[in-house]
Amino acid sequence: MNFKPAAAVRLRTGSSWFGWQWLPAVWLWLRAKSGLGRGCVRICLGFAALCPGVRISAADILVLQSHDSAPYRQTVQGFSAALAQRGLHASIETRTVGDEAVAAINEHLRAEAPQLLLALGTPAARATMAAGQTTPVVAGLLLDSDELRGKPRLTGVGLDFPPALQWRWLRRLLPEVRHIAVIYDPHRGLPTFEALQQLARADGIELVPAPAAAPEDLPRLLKELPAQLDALWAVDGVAAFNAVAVRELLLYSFRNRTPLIGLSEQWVKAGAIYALDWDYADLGAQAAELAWNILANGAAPSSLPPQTPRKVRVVYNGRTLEHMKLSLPERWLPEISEVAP
Amino acid sequence: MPCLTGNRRPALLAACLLLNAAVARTDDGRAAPPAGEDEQAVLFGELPSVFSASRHEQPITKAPAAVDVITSEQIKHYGWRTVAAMLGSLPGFLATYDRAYQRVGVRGFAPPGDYNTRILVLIDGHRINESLQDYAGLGRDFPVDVENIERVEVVRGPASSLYGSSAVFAVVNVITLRGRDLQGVRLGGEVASYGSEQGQVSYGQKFANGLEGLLSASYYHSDGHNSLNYGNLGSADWLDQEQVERLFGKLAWGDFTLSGGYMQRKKYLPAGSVGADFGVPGSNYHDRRAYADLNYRHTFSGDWEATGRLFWDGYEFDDDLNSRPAPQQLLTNQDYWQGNWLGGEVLLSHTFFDSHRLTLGSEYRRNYSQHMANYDLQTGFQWADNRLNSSIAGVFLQDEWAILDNLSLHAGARYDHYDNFGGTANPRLGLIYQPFADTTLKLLYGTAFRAPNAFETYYTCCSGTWIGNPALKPERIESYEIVLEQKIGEHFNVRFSPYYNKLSNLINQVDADVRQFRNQGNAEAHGLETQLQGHYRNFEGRVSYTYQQTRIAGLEQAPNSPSHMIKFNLSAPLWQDKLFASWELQYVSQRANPGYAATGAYTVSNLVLFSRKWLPGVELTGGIYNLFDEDYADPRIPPNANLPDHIPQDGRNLRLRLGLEF
Repeated sequence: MNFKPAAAVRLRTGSSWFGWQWLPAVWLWLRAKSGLGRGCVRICLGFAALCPGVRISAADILVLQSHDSAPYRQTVQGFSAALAQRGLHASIETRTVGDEAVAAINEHLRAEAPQLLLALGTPAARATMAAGQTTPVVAGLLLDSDELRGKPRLTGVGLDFPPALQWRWLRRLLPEVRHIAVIYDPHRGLPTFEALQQLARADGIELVPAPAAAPEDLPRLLKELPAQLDALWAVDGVAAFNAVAVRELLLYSFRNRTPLIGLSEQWVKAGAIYALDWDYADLGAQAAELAWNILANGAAPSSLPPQTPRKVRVVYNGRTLEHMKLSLPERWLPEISEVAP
Repeated sequence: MPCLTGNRRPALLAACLLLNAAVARTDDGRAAPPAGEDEQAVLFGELPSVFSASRHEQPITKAPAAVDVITSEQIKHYGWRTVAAMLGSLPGFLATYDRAYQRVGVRGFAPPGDYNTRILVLIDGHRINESLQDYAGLGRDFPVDVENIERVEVVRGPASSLYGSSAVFAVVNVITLRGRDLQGVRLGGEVASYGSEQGQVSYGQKFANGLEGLLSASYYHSDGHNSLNYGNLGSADWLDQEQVERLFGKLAWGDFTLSGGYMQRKKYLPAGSVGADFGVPGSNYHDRRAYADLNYRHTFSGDWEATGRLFWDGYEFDDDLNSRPAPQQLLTNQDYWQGNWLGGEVLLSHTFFDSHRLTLGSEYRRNYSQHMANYDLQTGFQWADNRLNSSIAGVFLQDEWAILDNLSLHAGARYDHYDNFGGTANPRLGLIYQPFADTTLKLLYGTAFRAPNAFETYYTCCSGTWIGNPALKPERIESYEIVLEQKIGEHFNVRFSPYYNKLSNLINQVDADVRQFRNQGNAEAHGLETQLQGHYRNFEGRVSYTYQQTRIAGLEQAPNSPSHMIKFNLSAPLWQDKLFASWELQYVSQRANPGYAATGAYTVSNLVLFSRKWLPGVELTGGIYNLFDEDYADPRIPPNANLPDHIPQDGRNLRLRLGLEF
């Protein structure tokens, strides 16, 4: 491990760290869009930090996100709020990876040298790793937690829910199912499938493996599924899906009245029966904890094990339930939420 | 396709992603891999709702034909009461009713009196055309209640290369509900005009052990018209009764599905019949149809798909044909027909060299009992007693060759061997080209046949005045068709299908010195079917125009073959997804009837209100049929001086149905 944090800002905890002198800076930070504005903000933050009698912490953080959609925005908000709660006021610049090539990001990193990178989404995470800088990276909204392993300057929060949690909710919501086809990515999802298989065996339930590595695999996969399935379960293998493939899967589910357990709230809105979704603000807060450890405690990213989501939102589609002629056990209804198609 | 992306345009980005995905879709429905590594787009991006899609889209098929699908949802919305009514709503189809049977013609060929012999009718893939006359009931005599239909797939054009005999103009495959579609009990009750009432009870369930079953029984009775006016012949009073009982069941376990049905229908004959004088009460046709089917389907690893089927079928028919040779004398002539057959089919399919989907299949049917008898009830004199049996064997091979991603060739042929006339081979070729993502062009060629049936070939009766003709050859059709399908935006599809059909060896009844069936007709038909379909949220509709011209050798004009048909269907939500109004309109131009007066053009429309979800499990349907009380008639054949030429159809009539599921 050669990693040395470029700048570790230690937070001196205090009860009244916030003062009037921060207001213009915060206002500027909120308003800042251009490089010049961000420079001014940094100057103000630096000036404020030097003010005698004021205990503050500040850091430059660059957020690279794969999209500018609600889950990403909520994650960033959760991230900055959690840092602020810890007294670390970050100058956060957000860029969407689609806007510029990796080379441009690389150039930007060299010029700006942020103290930490928050990479949201797989394309953003891969772009930061490809950039070849030494800046520590906290990744979030990452489907494959394995991408977080073995990289000295990378840690983060994956999107994978532990198999035991997934199984628990399946048994809670669909206790009658006995034969379930599980769609997973054969390249990376086998451990998840095996873990679920173990849990299923203990409960006397048959899991039918349905490995799919690419969208081209789906038509064959659907054709080969047994006729008497009780449910279809997409546990990962998102590589096998695009919008068209998901729709084909949903149509199969709909026509065969075989409930599809989806991968996210969007799947449920489109017709999946239920899915474990995320509290994006809390995912941001989890990433903020890792960032705090790196920035404030000087921890190396490699010393911070990747995390799984600590909160789960279970969402279901009442209209799909009606179509499938199924009902969810009432005892769990208070803990889950219905989404409108 | 270049797409703008950026953090200021999330909606546009999502749209672009979807558009790219849609455009990247391959011809056979395979989705192209997502561009780049953006897995999160599939998690967080907008996905199209399946609820609207499921109503309007069908699984991607590369069927080398013009295909229509009628869904259970449409059946409910439009209040169709028979399969014939469903088919009658489609371009190119003409449904007629002679108050004995519902008859369906297609593509300009609808000879009155035909028992739907040139349309192959299947229930869940099981052949329904029976073994004596190739008759397939599409009215109340269809073996399955319309409430138990999940969808109806209609494939136009010759399909003998896959199915053998009768698949001349179209194949109609009726897919029935499964246990999982009910998950409980469904009760249905219906009252309608003409003293009609129907009751139905069904139970369906998919059990935890994987067993799935459905059982349904129904009863229908109609007093029919009190009085039917037949002009100079007078009126038929209280002679229009109909009674139907049905039982249908389905049991599925793993790869096996056992299904079966029983139907019996008695229909009185207000217009008389050959052998039944007009106006004499009591004449009726009594049909019974039963079948059992064991189906096996499994996809093995390595993309080998095997399908097997064993089946047994029974058909029984008797009638009372009353006449009065003298005012005080009643003569009842009776037919008793019975056909029983069994058989099996096997089908194996696999993709070779990544581009050739080969399907090899074989079918065998043994008509172990074909009995056609006729006698007079009062005297006991037997006019006919034909007993025979026969066998049919067929083998077919089909290749779906994906030449390019957007170009495929379907080539297939089937050889059938019949005891009576020997063998016949029928090929089919279809070239399917998708120049653009939303455009499909199909160039189709095929031949098909209808084998001379047992009645036409062997029926001998009436002291030698009616004799069979074992030398009969099969009717043949050679068909050329172009199908152009264009998707217009998200909500519309348009289809153009020009076709040319050439028929030869048509089997006709000849009344010379003796009555006999002979191959003595050729026909040509050409036409154009156009259809625009649309859907938006809970709105759906279609409008079609059909132009057809049929020439039958020896006849000035083809009988019962309108040149123009316009059909319009629109279903609209009146209140959320709880109340729908559906309007159907059909215009049929004048039909010639060689030998007697033409049948006038007519325009008929129906209005149906369908509601559900006001109370849990309750569905209510109210329909006004023939809304504007159009006075119209269908022709009857053969013309007979003592029988009506035109059969008046129902005037404005009402129907109310209540369904309860729990």
